Amino acid sequence: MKAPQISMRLDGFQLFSNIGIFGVSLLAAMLLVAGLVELVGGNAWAALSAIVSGVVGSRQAIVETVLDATPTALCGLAFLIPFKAGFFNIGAQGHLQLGALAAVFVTTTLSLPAPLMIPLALIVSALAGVLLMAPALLLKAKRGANEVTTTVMLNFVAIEFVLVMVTGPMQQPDSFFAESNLIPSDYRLPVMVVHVGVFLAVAIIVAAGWILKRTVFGFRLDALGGNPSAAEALGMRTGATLTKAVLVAGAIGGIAGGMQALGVVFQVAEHWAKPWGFLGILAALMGRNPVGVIFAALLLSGLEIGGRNMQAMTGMPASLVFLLQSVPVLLLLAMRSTHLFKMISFPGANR
Amino acid sequence: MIFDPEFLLSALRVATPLMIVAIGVLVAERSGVLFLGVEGVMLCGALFGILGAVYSGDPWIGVACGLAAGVVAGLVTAALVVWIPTDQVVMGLAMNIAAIGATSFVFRMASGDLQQMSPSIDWSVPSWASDVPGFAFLLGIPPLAWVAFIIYIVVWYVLFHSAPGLLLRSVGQSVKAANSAGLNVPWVRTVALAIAGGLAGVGGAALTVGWVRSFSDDITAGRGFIALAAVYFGRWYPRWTLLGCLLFGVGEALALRSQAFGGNPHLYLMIPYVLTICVLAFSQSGRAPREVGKPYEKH
Repeated sequence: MKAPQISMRLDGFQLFSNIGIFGVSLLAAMLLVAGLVELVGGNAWAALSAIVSGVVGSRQAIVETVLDATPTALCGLAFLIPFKAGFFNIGAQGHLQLGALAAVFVTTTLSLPAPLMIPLALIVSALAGVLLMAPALLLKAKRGANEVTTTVMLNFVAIEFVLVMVTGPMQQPDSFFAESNLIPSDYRLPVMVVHVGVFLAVAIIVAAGWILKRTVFGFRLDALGGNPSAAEALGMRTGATLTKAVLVAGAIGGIAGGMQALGVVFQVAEHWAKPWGFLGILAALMGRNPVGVIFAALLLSGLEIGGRNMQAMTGMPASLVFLLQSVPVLLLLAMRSTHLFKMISFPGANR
Repeated sequence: MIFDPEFLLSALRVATPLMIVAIGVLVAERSGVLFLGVEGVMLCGALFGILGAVYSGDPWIGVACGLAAGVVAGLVTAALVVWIPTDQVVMGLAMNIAAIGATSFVFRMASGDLQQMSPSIDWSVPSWASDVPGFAFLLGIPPLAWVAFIIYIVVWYVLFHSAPGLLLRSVGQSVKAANSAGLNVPWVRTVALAIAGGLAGVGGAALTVGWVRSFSDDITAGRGFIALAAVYFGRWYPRWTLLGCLLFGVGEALALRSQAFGGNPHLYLMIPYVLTICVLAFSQSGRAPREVGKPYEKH
């Protein structure tokens, strides 16, 4: 499967037209939602402004948006890195689930000093992500199995496995619900306005941006995604490059879950996870590079937080936000792929 | 206990929507399209099936509405991934999220009447028949399961024993060869996606109208993906795909009755996925249609 081009070298004109296409798609999605609201007799202006005020209206809402954007952005990165090499990782949701389970398991069964325990828990959650990614990579390499379907299935395996654990061996004793024990307060991530995991996530993403853009490894990924046979013919060890990219993605997905467990929810339970893994894919496609992913994730999470405010203020269903999240991506991809826009947005860079 | 007729019927009831959707996915995959948006299309069919059934009072009109909604959604998919074309994977995922939002919105706005259950599609078993064990079992098979078997036979015959089916499979196997033979690849795929979407819509309606008899947000809950898994389990052959659906049906039926059978319900739900992955691991990959997932570009 060929990865659509992601241009890392945006000159001024390209940057301008990319932001332009992005703005047009977001605007069109907002018009669509406004139209729907008016259609059912609501007040479109009130609904849209309730979304905005729901995000920037209070400190609490901004903190919530940042907290929610963190796993989305990390999952976006977990999609983006292998995507550059032509590998579609749809499995971030599963890596996140298993990573969180691993972090909860370690922190609720072992006892160590906190400065050792927290890094250990994050490492274990990264390993859990890698472990879940390995079958998809192996099946792709040895059997040519399409990674999209294998990662989708591994998602379900992970989600059901978490449920098996929280209704069985890891269920909180005496609890009626499917939930694990709470992580002891010593082992939770320290909070500085937001938990420190957020800063770690930003560091990971910025570092990834630098690696993808400025290092040989990043260049190899581009080569592999652009034309695998040419990369191989030039003597690149394509298998090793792909393996690294894919396993790193699994680790990042696992860490996203571990951080969410250690910093926000402190346990795993039935329905504990929002679809961060899937929103991350949207964020990766909107953002196109690691730093862009951060902004796209903030936008997607802001829409979600704002959507709840819209429901409270105007009675319009919060599910409209799903349209605000997905329709811009649909339009964005359609416009990027349409020949006319290709010529506008990538002059000369086209095939 | 597994061969208890009640249990078999409940497994069949769970498997019916999966079978119809999976056959649709099979048609799309055989034409070379990775139909990841099937979850969203199924959700549309589920909603419009209920809308049709409740407003008309006839469950079969509901199924027809599901079919129509599915065909439209399939054609939208075709416009996006065949004609523009955009990437099939990310477009499918984005469409799934959009479908959750759109169906939930429409449902909320119309839900005044939709709180009631839709009319039942099942045949009532006359009292004299319930004394005859085999007959009661036959009548207990959901009507849409018969529909699924008919669809299976038709699709199997058309795909593997007729000229149009051969054309469709050739497009999925090699676009270049199909092009050289003068086939219009985009149109073949458009037709395939219309069929696949229609079947996914009927499958969605089979879930709501034929089984649950009401709609709730994201009611498909990953069943479209299960259908996709069943196609991979079945190595793109209708009969094994059907078997895969039955396997998932048995898993879910076991989970529903885990209190009686013992064991963790989520373990029963997990096992079919693990088996599918094992099938992928132990079978040759050469069987997959080669063009699946690749956007069509005319050279």
